[in-house]
Amino acid sequence: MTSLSMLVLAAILDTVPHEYVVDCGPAAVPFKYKMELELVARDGTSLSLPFITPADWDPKDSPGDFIILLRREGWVARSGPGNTFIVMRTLKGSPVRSVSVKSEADWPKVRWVPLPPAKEPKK
Amino acid sequence: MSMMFRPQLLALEARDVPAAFSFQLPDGTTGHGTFATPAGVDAAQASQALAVSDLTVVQNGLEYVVQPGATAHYAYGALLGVTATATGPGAPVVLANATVQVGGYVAPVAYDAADTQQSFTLLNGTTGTVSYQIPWELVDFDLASQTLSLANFNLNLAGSNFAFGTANYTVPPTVLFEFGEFKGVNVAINTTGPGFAYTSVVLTGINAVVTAVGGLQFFVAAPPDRTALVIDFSGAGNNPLGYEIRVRADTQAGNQADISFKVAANTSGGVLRDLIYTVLKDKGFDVERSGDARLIVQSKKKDDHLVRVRFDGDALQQLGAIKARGVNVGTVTPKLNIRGAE
Repeated sequence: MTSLSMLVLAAILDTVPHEYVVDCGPAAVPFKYKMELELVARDGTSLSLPFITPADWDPKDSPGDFIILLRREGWVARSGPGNTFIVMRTLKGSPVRSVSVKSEADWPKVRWVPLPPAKEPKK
Repeated sequence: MSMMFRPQLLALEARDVPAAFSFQLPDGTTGHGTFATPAGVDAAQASQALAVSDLTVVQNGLEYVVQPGATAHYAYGALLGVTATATGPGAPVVLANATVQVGGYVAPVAYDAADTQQSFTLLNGTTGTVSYQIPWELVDFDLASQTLSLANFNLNLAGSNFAFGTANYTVPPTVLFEFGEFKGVNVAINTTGPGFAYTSVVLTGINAVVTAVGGLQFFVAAPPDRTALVIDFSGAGNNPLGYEIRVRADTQAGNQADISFKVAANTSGGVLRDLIYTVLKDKGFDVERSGDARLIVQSKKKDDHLVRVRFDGDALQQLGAIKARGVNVGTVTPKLNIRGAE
């Protein structure tokens, strides 16, 4: 795929209602690893949270940890199903534009999830 | 570990400020690295080869391992380049002074021997480094706002140097101060050039926006305000005997806690977490509970960094089960220390 077509695809995907689901994984990673969570909002606000995680860190409470740490840095996230959380917007109200993770482990993973169309109210 | 564009005033005089280099391969990927200028550089010698012990090499956003033998070369005190081999996930990166070879590609390397003051990393892994010398003799600690020109400014990015006086600066570089405190750099550079991947770099305070050929803009992610430790006490409960625990915490700006107290027999990890929450909160630390048995600890003040939390006591198994996940800021990595061990 050429860089131009990637740009076009990215522009199209950006118009589809979607959210970013960050999955902290089903089980603990058995080794110490570095990871970095990077967020960009539509108004250009951005944040990079670099972590060092010990071996066997239980992912069960991780979504709650991330939600607290993100709130302290001016971002709003909510918990999702399982060990996931969903990045929504900045505290100032700018919707999230991108979420990415760099990690030495397989986790966390970020999923781009299109939102179903809103139901029309019953007449 | 990628670096972020960040003010460094607190550590400006004491920290090791490295020289920097970067390159851009024909496939568009970039690499970069840093090293401290080795001792013994002599402006009187026509040729010098000096060992470098702290060279870092990052290619396409991934850190490579530098093999023994890295050497910096100088002529009459001027840096010519570095020879080194670094191995990593892809083909080895072979630095040969003015060029680099990665797999089948050979590309020029741009060096900036001046001390790097800031760096920024784009989401695609490309890193730019900025060097300049602050005219401290002109900084007025009584002025609420002050802007000073930087005639010795240079941006090193993707194999090119953009030095003041030769590059196309649409906004000349200035450094900003408030009551003598560094607040960032303002500059805009037109970086358009044959084969170069970026058309402009704009630094505003501590924010950066880099525009790629085709118009895609990269915003540099700002680091968090403060370091943090997420401490998990879930495995540290239910000791059959009571014990004494000593809790100490330190921030970079000197805020400290040092408290000892008795923990009753069979105290759960969650209750232990709550006890430590109370004592650290009383000592002026910013603490918040998470889940059943986790505690998030930060300094109270913005831009002050938690450096260490220490637990000492005689409940060996319980204390040994405490774990922590750290959030770094720049070069500050908060540590959890259990009876002297990390």
